[in-house]
Amino acid sequence: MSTRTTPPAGPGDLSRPNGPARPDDGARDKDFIAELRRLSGQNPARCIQCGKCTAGCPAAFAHDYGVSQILRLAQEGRKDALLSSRTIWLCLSCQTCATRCPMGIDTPALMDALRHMARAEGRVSERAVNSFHESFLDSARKHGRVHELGLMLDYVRRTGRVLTDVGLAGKVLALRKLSLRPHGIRGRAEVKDIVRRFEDDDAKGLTQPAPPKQGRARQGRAPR
Amino acid sequence: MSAKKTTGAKATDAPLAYYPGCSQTGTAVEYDQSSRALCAALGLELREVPDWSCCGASPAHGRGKELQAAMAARNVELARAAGLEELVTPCPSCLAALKTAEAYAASETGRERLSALCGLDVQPGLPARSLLEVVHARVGIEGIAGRTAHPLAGLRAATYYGCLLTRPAELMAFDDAENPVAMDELLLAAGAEVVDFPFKTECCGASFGVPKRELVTHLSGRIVAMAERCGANAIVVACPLCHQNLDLRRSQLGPEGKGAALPVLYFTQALGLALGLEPRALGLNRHAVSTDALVRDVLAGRTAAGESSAAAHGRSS
Repeated sequence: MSTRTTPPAGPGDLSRPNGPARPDDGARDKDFIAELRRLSGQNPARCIQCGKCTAGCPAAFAHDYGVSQILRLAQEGRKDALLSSRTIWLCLSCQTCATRCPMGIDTPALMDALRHMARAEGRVSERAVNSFHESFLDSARKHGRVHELGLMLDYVRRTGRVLTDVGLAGKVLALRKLSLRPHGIRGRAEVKDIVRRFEDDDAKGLTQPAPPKQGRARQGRAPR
Repeated sequence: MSAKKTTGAKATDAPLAYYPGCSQTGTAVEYDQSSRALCAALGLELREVPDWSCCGASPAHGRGKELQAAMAARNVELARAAGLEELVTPCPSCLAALKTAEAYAASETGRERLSALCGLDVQPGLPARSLLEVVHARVGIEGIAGRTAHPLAGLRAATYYGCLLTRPAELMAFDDAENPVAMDELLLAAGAEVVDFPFKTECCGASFGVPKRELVTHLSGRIVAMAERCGANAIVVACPLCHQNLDLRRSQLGPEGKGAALPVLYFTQALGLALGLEPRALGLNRHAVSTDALVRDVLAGRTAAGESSAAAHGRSS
């Protein structure tokens, strides 16, 4: 598309498509690689830099690093470049890259893990995206089900973006699709407990980032 | 009735645990409405999962897949407790969560983790499927053709499946990941025309409409424009978020898609029309982009059914 924007200045050499990012901090952070592998359940070392993910990515026009560049940076353990990247927040989780990857890498899972790590370090480069996710989860935690109006109000409160989608509100109201009150459920405390237990376990590193394999390996080689 | 029986251990007329999903209580309320109406007309018995809760969707897997699996697992266990053996949901995003729960529950380690998080004894073996898959498998092409009272003459559909219904292929295990045909087959059986549409699984921008609207307006604008270019007079979808982006956000879309009058129907609404259900009972009056002209065409096709098809074009004035 002609709408591809000029990549914003960032660390690394973006002049060559899919070229390796130039070292910006010199360090190959092995601990970071290990933690990324644990959290994502993926091994970026398997990436052969074919570029298929970048070529098919619908959000590529908005990215700073291409998807295959993110993988290259992950191979090199370039923590700073990765965690400050906008790309990790602008992944739509549409699964196009994962569907086409000849090496069977679940890149959206890698992006999830990178966002998680960036959030933990307080380095959120696309705050609105993160705020929306937080508002969504809070709504689910509070009522057991997501309440769209409440979610929007909470999002506006977090971001100060007062005019977000006010145009749509009238439309939704006229179509009688706006539920003014949340559909609270009896088991909302159970939902709250699930999130709390997950957060506790996650802080202790006890969570399983991917469905544990049972005997049979995935298609292709299992991550080493 | 000539409903195609699928093979498998379970009787195909067993009642289904129905998981509507949060969107279907709000901006996609007509997807819920038309899903229930269609299933009733097809003799598919739905029993809503009692006290169901949010599946977590993208914000949950953004924290970790295990959170998404646990939030969904509570619902799987509620369905099991209600004596049901199979889950069905109209929403692909909810389906991905339910299937992720199933994938975790398949191993002992996964079961232990989900049981600990949910405070429940999580068990394996309660599969979840999309409503599209269930209609395709249980009713089938012949079943829809046999029950079509009013062929959808006048509908030229661009079938838009969205990203998640078939992907990741390993998890969703349904149809072709990049060129699905289930919806095409059902609509053809109902007498509609289906156009060749290259954007069947292109992403609409998903939940980024609020925090990063330019992603959605660009991507959804392209999809609407492509559907028009392919000669469609409607886009038929199977996902509440796709519908929201293509219909509710139509006036926000990029220049290519903004002005298009192309309505966006849920597949449940299109099939419901073919079965002779009333447009209002299918919530066709609750879209931002009017479906009136299309419905009028299809209803004109109804009255013309059995007579000369030219009568369908004789409406006007």
